Amino acid sequence: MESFLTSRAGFIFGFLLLFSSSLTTATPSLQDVIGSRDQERLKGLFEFKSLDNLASAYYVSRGVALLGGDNNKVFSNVCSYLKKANIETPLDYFYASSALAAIKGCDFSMKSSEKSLVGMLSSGERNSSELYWIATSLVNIGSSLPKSLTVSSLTDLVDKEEALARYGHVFMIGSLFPPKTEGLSSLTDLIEDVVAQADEAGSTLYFEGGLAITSDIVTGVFNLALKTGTAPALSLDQVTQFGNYLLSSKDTSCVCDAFHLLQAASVLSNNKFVVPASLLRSDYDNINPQESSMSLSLSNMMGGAVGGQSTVILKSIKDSSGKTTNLDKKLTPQANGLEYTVSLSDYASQAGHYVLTFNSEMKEKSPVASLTDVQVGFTVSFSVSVESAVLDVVEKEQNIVLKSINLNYPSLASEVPVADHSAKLKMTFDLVNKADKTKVTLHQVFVRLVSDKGEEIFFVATPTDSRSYVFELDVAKTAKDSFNHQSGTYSMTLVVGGATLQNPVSWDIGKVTLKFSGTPKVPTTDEHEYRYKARPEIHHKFQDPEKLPPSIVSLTFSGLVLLPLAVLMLLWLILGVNLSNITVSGPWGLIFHIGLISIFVLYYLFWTQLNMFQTLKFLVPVGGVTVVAGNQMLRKIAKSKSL
Amino acid sequence: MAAEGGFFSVLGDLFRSYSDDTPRKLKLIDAYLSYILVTGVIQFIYCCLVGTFPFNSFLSGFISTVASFILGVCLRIQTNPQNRAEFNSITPERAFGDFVFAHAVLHLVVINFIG
Repeated sequence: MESFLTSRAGFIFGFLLLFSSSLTTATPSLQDVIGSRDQERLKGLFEFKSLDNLASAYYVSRGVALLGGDNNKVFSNVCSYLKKANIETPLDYFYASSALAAIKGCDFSMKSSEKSLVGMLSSGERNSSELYWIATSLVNIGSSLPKSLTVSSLTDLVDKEEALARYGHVFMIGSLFPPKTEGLSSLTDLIEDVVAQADEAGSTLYFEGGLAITSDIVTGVFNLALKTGTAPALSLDQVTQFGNYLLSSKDTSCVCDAFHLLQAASVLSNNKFVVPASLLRSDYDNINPQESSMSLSLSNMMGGAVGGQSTVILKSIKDSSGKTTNLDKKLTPQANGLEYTVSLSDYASQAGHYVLTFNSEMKEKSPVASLTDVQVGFTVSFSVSVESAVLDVVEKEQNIVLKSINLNYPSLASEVPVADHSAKLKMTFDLVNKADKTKVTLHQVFVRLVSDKGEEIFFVATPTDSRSYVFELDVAKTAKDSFNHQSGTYSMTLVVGGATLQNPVSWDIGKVTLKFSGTPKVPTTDEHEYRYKARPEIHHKFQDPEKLPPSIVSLTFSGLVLLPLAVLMLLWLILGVNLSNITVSGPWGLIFHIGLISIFVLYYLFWTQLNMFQTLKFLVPVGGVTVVAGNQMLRKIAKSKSL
Repeated sequence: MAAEGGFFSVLGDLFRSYSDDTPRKLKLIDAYLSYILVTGVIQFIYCCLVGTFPFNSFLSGFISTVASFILGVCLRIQTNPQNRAEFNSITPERAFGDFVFAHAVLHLVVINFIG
């Protein structure tokens, strides 16, 4: 058995980071930021993208520009690509002119394209995206927008088209107009309508169609607002939710997604209206068991500092037991104005899980969001050692210790104890915190016994009142259920684990010999055979008839039922039956009575042997004759009466 | 005592007026009805004492008595001279014909059900 943990030099409490993202916040804060590492990664993504079409040239040049890089290599690549590119459609012009505007030091000019662009604008009907491409191209090459393009033509397009993307394009075109253009506010009024069409999922808000459309609309809204100088009709919550949605594609490997993320992130990080913020741990990379402090950074979406007027307050700390202590401690920012350091050992002296709650306050009039109740969790872990371990074999009846072996963690036991069915195996030990030598109790403390055949049996060791652990194995009692009377040598291992434990323990203690009385039960049927063998056939079985009463009872009641018939006959005789009329109707009376008797005889046969069809076949002629005869008979009687 | 005597004398009057004023035909029908009634009661007692198994047999026998009783009562109503005004279009012969026909149909069903 491998003992994979050995003793380690003790140290004062280790602070181990288990979870550190914002758990919940009262006002939504950004769940993530595009930090410096992410920005490096995205930069690499743009740099190594091969330029195989105008779109990639556009994404790469804009992306690099948005990341603030003066990457001459990329710029010269884009420049030489543009020079040889074939530019024909409005989209081509849009990509080429935007890329050209984003890069520096390129001697390629598109000024000569103005005429063909204006021509495109006036030729035929253009939809909102084509208008956006042409208008942007014109502005990019330094021309002014033609008079024919008016705000009212844009609002007409909004009414006419149906795709959500039209809003982004219209807002973008709107932001190209000079600030005082008449009617721009009518575009601003559309912002509320479009935000109402966003879908919400968890703490994110997005437009149907995904990242590109969401990014275009959000960017368009803010560009338009910056142009007109009026704050967009967006709440802080909504902006933050849009930000969270955009950030969910932070790990993209597609330049188009990376560009769209950066396009919106840069405008959400730097505008004068509303800037969402995040307070996150910034020392992910420095997870160190000996660390006793935590660094947090208060930043905007691009991971930048939010300005010098911010205050971060450590409000409270909640420990494992759920007890909350109010702290209200103002944190001092570090020199970069971005990071704040919390000394964890000041607040958490015991091992366990803790949750810190922070508030951030901004100076009045700052567009940056103030955050309330940002929760950051951390865990104080500790190392454990097994001490005072003793393994005893105890005679059960009189409680005499037959053998006692002192164990030294983490070494093997010096001898192999033998316990038979009259004995108990008893192990006592303490789990001790290495740092302060106090006894601790942990979630998972097991003793594992493994037979030579590899069968594992687990037992739970339980803590006593004095926080010492006891494991007792009653050989006789556990023989049947746990060991199946399999006497032999078992390897014994102590397994200790816990959520705040730095060094889980799996201590190979040694071997014990257990002797059981009784014989092992050999499984009678092979499992495989049992599973695949044909099952015994199931025969259909009719329901057993209910027990009938004794025949004497049945016969008595048959007699009883017939008795009233005799009484009836008697009564009729006493009353005097008048059969004189039977002759009045002549032979019909006779036929009728014979027919009636035949019918009832037929019924009797139906009961005893015939089926319904046979019965009906006979009944039709007999019944017919009887009906005719009865009719004639009764008619004659009636006639004789009326005479 | 007087009341009891009165009770019996009332019963006596009732019986006398019945035997004097009721036509013989109706008395014959009444005898038939009481025969049916007693038969039904005996079947019911059997079912209470022994049980209803086999249920269809019990049911068909009992239904037979109940339905016969109803048909008998119908016959009695239709042939009662006192009700002539009400059943003017139905002669006693017609009523008897109906009675016999209904019985034929009823007992076909009863036999079918008796099993």
